[in-house]
Amino acid sequence: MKKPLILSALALAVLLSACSQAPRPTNTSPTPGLVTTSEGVRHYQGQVVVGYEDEPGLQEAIRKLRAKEVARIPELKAALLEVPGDAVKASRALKGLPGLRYAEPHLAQVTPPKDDPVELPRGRESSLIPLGNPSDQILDELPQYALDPRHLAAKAAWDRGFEGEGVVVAIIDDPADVTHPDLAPNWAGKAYDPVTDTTYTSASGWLSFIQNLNAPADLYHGTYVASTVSAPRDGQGIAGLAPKTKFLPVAIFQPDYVGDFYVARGIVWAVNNGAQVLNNSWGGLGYGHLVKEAFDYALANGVAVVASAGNSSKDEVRTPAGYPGIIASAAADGNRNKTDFSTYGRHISSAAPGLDVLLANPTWLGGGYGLISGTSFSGPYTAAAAALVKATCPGATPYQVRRALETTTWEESFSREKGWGHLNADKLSQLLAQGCTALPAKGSVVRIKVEYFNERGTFPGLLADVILRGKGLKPGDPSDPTPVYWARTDQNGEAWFYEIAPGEYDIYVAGADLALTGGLPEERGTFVGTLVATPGSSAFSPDSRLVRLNASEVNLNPTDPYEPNDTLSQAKPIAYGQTTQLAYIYGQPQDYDYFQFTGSAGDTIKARVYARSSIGGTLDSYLYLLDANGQVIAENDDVVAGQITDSEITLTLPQSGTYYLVVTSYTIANGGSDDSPFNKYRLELQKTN
Amino acid sequence: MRKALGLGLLLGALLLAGCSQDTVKPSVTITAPQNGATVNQDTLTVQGTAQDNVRVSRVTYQLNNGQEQEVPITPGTSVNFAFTLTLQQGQNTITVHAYDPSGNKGSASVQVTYDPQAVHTLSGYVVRENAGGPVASSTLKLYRGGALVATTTTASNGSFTFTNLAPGTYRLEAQKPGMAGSLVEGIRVPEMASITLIQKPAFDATATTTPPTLLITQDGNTPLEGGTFTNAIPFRVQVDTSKDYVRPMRYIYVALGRTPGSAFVTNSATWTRRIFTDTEDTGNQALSGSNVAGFGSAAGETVYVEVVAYDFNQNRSHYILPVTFVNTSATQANTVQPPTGVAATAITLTQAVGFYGVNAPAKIQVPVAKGQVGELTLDPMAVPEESNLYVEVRWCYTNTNSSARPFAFDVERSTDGANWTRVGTVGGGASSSCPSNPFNRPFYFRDASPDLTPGQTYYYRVVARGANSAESQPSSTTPLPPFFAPLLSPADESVGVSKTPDFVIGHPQLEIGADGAAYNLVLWDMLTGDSVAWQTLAGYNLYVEFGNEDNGIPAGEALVYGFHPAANNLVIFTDTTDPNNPDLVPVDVAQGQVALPYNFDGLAQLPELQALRTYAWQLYVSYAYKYNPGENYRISAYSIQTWPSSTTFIRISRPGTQVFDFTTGE
Repeated sequence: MKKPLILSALALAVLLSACSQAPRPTNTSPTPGLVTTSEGVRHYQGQVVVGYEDEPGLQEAIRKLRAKEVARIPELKAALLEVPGDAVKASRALKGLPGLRYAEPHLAQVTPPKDDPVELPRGRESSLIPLGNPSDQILDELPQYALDPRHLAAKAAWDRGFEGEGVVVAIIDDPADVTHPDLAPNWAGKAYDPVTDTTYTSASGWLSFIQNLNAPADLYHGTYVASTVSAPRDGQGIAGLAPKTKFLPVAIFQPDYVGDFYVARGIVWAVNNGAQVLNNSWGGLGYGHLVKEAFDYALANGVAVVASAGNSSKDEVRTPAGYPGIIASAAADGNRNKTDFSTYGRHISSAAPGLDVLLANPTWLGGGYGLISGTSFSGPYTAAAAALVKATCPGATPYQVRRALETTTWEESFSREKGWGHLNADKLSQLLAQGCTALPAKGSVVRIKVEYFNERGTFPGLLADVILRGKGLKPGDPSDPTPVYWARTDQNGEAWFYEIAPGEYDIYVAGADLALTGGLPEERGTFVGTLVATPGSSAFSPDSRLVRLNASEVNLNPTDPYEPNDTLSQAKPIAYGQTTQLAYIYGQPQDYDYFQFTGSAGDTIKARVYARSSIGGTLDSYLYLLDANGQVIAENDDVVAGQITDSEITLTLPQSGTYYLVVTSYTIANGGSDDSPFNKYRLELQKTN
Repeated sequence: MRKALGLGLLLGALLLAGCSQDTVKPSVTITAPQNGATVNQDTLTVQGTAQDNVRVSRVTYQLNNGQEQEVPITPGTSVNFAFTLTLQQGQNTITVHAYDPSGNKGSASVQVTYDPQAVHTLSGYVVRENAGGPVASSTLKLYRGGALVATTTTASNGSFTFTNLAPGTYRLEAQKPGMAGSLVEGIRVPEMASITLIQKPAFDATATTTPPTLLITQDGNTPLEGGTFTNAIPFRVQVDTSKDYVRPMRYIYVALGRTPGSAFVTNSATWTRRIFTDTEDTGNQALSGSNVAGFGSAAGETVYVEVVAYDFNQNRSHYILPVTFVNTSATQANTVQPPTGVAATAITLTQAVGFYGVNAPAKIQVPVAKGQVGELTLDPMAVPEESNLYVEVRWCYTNTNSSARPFAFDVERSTDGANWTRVGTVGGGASSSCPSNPFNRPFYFRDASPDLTPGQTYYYRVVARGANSAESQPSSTTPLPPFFAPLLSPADESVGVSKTPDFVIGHPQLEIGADGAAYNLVLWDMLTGDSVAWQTLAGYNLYVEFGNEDNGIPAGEALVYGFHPAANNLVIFTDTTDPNNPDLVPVDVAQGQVALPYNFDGLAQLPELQALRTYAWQLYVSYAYKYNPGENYRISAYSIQTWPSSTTFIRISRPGTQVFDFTTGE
């Protein structure tokens, strides 16, 4: 009962202050850990991830946002901050801060498996006696069509001695059951909770961590996935495709997505703890710098990364499947055709069974086995195939692993639906039997460094887009495998492409994202050129390219011609029919810009702020109309809520006299701070009658 | 030389024949009638061929092991024969013998039943799924009492017909390479004149296509078939695990009075079927309550219990068992009124759902009771082939007085508005609510009959049944063919695209006989993914109508409009009937195209797209619709290409859509 009382008292206080003096509205305190959507971006409320260059840069960001540091990943020079107010807006306010490489809201754009209808287990099967099924589907005890000689052809590979021995595969998923009888023998002995940075080394400790998540029914996915890879051949239940691998659980769904920061921490932990293959049966739309950097860290360390394409039924790129260097897996059905639900496209590497696959069900849900569908299961079959390669040739680069899989499929030809085709472990093992020198050639690592130059000098090419488009790409051709890769430069102006196909590329580079900086299109600068990616280039000696764009540098210290205009007494005049010059909500944590005009009773006025939605930049404006006493008589956030975030007030003046228009940002209007050089706007005042 | 060689060969053959005795028997093939056939006339013509390595010199036949009768032939190595005989009533055996000059004898027999009552026809369709497309060229075998009676293959529309059937109980099996097996056991002729078989693609075409054998009893011992039950029907379904099928079982459905399947298609507000997942034995169960609502009578009447089971390979078994069902519901004595608000709406789904079968349980919002929407688990969405077509009939019955509540609603269909056929029955009910949106009306029935044809007008009415029968006013619908609006420009993976491109889509509205189509276009930045660069009308539909007879727009003209959130009103973006009217969304009526200029609604994030960036676009919503002028221009048919929500409108989402990406120029 206490809490509501306090809240209403606060609301009352706000109202009072709004009536008597200039607007200083509520300080809405965000709830950390709650997923929210702002401007279409799903993220953790009140959490911002920053990549820092150095400690002072990080501390400056913390000071500027009035933030609290929650956690840090030193390997990636990244930190998770808790901020008051909207994280999307807060992250934008950090853009261009010296000493920071990037800042983004703590993204949560990944759908947890429990919310993906394709990936709910189709009931459990406890008494599956192998009868009526061909005997070659019995690899262990229960029928597994996926492994039979007409699908993955597992036994032929095992018979040649390729079972993945010595390889650790990280299961980046919800926490896998290390006590399931068909998994326990192949647990790697460690499991990780990235949120609390806790490494569990006992099964009972891990189980009690899982129990404490209090959502047993929503935690099953990782167990199914782990058994796809690592279930041993022991005469009970099922076998994984790489039955001698060890699996390493990393809990990124608890059961909700823990956010990009913790995922990145989990990836780094897995790499640092011996994983040679990372399985990622998850994904979403959106580009997260931090997660891409974490995968780049894995690739730079020779770790093969597999990701599920997605269950969207569409020809589209989802991440992480779409990041450079990642092996994207589509799901196939019992006839080795693409399943209806599988996401597909030019970026797909290969296909594997993903429809009604029989896998292990966690003991806390009754144990045993169940049928399940999704690219989440074609992915780990692919990771298992990658493990067969890594077990034989530990030095194989991620690109060689990928090509070893792609060149030994049933089809050996490319389609957007199944990539290079349906995996075939029999054929893969025939390649491996020839020794590691028989592996396909190594891939390339490309670094594009972007700089902006103009009459004022040379500046880092931050927030630029870089596209590598393979030469000779046939647009829309369903059987053309020529790759395309996308990446964004960081605050150093560098875009990295790890473990990509060697060859000749067109490079498209364009200057800073106007959706963020709000510059004019002609200030952006573009570059079109070519680049040859050579086989065997590496993180330490990448194929490098310096691209200089004749572009306006990102102006981090603009001048507002109306400042100071931060109070009623400092208000600058504006008249009917006038539009201001470019002005900024910038220079202090909570900038309110005051303008004053004189109107007559009966005048219908229209005051419009042109900001992010119309001239770009970062300003989600907020507009107040005050009377001569400074009392708020009208206010507006968005012209169209959630769509046009510019502000507009239309009103017929009640009496003649002086009025004030006050421009600020939505975040400031809600009590937060928002101080960005990209917070630009113009204010227009019209009399419409 | 050639002639000499020929002579030599002939000589050799003769020599061979002369020097060793010919012991090879002639072979006989009877081409008509088919073995096991039943005929309804006693005069029968038998045809066939006989062959021999030397010569067929003589052909005879025997009827029912009677005396051999000579059949006139022209002797030769291959002879055709034909003769007519008179059958005895009942089963007849016809044996044909062929002799060669050495006295070798070959024979063949067929059994034919002469039954003057064998005048019945069984016809039907083989379809991929409920409301789904046809399976052509499937081989059908009809058995009676374990004996093969007739064989046929389905036509291109999936249809089949067996004629000359005697009254009795039949079993029908369907097989086709690549498809799972399907069987129906217990078809009563002549009571059941038509039957629909569902034959799904095999999960794995190399696995067995033998459907599971079911043991259907009351409790594991007592037979169910023929029993008499009051208000509840006990049952137990077990798979005969000694017979061929592919484990694990997927589903066992049990229902009274309707062939059960996917909840979306076969359940209703007042009638439900039972479903058992991943089991070979349902255990002891009962049909009662909403499972039996609307069926049976106080005096007892014959009703069919239907059981459908799918194994892992999608092999399907369908068993039909008659029982006598006594329903003591007092509503049978009620005086009922005509149902109101009957609206029939045809739904075409361009990309089939795969009823039953979604691959994993998808959650779907469906009305579960009068006026209530609940979440049901819809059994999964599988490999969609072709399209779906069903008619959703919804209605109201607002008199909630307990003495006026109907016992049952019969749903009837007609193609002429005069001659009606019952397509289904659901339990009776009453609800005071009767929303203006037909999709929200409390009672419904989804007619997934395989003979529903686009372009044909169907009338539906609902008959409330109690002590009397009361028919509603009819409602009509004309189903549309599948609709697909292709993305045309900017082309997929194109480069150098304008920063203010026109998004051109095909608009095949007139081609499919629709009156308009609704679209929502989404454009997003492919790299950042999260930022939707533009969604037309901020998510509201854009309606495009090219003129035809029914939409009130002159032929050759077009209207484009939609709700604009900034204007908070409907806005007309294009009206070609007057050059002074807006033309913000240019159309090409002759080519069937619409161009949506970037930011035509002013709702894009940026006034123009950025140079050298990759964007992706798709139709997030795309469906065509048809007005019903006879029912106050209610939309009575939809053809859905893409619809994102399973909770609104048609309550089923269709995610399939094209996604094109393009990169802007400098």
